[in-house]
Amino acid sequence: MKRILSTFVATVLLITCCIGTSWAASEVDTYASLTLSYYYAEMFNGGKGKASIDFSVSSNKFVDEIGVDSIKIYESDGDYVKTISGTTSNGLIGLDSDWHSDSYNVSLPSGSYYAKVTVFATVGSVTDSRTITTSTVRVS
Amino acid sequence: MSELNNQNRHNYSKYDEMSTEALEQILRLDFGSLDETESDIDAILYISEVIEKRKRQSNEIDVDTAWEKFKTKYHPYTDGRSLYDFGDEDSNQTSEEGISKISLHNGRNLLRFRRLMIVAALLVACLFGGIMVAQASGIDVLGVVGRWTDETFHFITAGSRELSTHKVDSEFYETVELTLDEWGIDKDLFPTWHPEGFVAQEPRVANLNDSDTISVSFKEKDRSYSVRISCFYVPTAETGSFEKDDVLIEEYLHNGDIFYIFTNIDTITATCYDGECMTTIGGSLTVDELKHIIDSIGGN
Repeated sequence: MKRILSTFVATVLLITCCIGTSWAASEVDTYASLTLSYYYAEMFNGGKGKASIDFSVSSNKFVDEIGVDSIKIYESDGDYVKTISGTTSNGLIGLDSDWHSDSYNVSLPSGSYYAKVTVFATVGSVTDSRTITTSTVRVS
Repeated sequence: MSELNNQNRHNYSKYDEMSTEALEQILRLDFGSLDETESDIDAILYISEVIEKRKRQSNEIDVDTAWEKFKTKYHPYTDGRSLYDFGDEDSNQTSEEGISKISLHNGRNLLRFRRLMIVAALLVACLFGGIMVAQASGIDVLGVVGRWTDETFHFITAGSRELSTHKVDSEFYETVELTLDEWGIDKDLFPTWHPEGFVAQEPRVANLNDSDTISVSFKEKDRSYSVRISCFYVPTAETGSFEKDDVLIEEYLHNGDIFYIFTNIDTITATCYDGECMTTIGGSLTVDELKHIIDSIGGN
């Protein structure tokens, strides 16, 4: 009887502790940001031999630079494929804005891939960034 | 009563070995006899004395026997401790032979059981309170649940909802509403009010693989904020993440939609996702300004 009650109390305590802890569902860092307010990135099939990477990055202020710092492509088994660096020329970075969003196409051979997209925003000398891992997409 | 001399007592010693019931029978027979000459008065007296002595002895308490009986059948300890001593069990047992320890300690067990039940009740109450808080923060009335940690906020499920129409006068309002109409969104999602001193900037649009977004920024001398509406082609749990600090999130209900209001160090954000469109208002605003902007959605 005492053992059953002890087990019950321990179980209730464990459940209570679990509910009280964080419900982390994002692979982001663990602090608020002075420059970034919202970010989103996802990979899609972009047609034959292409993957399309959507991104949306915003700040609650007008910042000097905002967008994607880099896109690293990996095969579905984790093998590294290549990196695309963000610039204003390739449209991954915007200037003097509070929001930058676009879709970027990457040429890839047939296979399954995912991407690690690093987004950022810079205000003066302060830069904050986050890395988002997309879902895996089949490129034909 | 005549005294029996030693000689006569000796003659009547046979009665000492007879049972009490037999002696009483003898007395009854003598009492019932009609012939008084046959009655041995001395014998009767002797028998009466024997019976009386036996009765006195049966009423006396044998102290030693009673003590042994108590220790073996009633006393739970062999070491003389009080029945009310609920301390840890002493591993040292007395070496007194023939005494066994009674394992049922009713008083101590009941107290422990009561304490455990109180602790269990408190924990259940905490669990229930946590569930209530969780439901209050994430109840899926509209099919949309907001989830957050101390650092980020995001929507995780999708539902659908429609807002009532209204009318307004706000710069770029018509532009935004027309754009939403083109996207097949027949809801009034853009605020019809902004704080004095702010000037709306040209709307910007982004068309992605799974969503379309229109954003309007508002600038004042030293402050700015934006209104951004992202409409997804299909309901999704992947709507992005918001940065936030560890200040508690506030749920603000407007026209049946829940706006989640949270701060990110020096700015504030309010966001609502109805399963189709995510409306986000964020920037250098006060809470009152933000709520006033929210209240203006739908023409209020």
